[in-house]
Amino acid sequence: MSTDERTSFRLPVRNDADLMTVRQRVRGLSQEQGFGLVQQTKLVTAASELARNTLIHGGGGSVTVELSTDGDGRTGITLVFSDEGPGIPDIALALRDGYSTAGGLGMGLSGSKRLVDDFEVETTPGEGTAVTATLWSGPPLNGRR
Amino acid sequence: MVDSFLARVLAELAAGARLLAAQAVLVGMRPSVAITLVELGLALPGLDTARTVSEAAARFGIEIRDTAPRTAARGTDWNET
Repeated sequence: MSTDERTSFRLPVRNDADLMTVRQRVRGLSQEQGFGLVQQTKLVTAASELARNTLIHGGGGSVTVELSTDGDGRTGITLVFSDEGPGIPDIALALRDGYSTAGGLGMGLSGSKRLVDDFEVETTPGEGTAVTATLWSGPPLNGRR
Repeated sequence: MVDSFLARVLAELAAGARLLAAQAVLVGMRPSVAITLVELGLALPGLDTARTVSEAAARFGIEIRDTAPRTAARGTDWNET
């Protein structure tokens, strides 16, 4: 797996306006990489959910966006959202549908996991959380997987 | 794009309309957005949807004759901005 340095960038997640920028940049990159409309929407939606988590639960942080390729010629977009917030005491509970500590719908983290191909949460209580999500471009069967 | 935050806002708007004895119908959702919402796990219970304004109006017994093609109101995926 190689990383293309030219298309790796980092964006702040500090306020509502940053959420918009994250969505726009992720949308733009997935379009450039030829992702189908459904995949673009899935990635942008996951980015929006995770960015909001970083903002609300993590007290703000940043996202790193990276491109990678695999042996089959697929392109992957990896988003790493990190914060220095309180961390997640119980990841299994946080990943359960409908569980929320912020009075929301409780679908953000669990739903984002379903929207992407690879999903990982690293958290240390008291130190922060990093959520890594990768979506791969599908085989161009009908162009809109 | 509709994330869980916006989905909640839409559901609350519809619930607000119900309090006023009105019925809200969400129209024009793009196919890719609908697919993403379902995978996200948000089936939007209590939120009525229709593909077009005419289709929504027909539920209330009102007929709207389309005189010109209005792709924007049809939730097409092909004019994404």
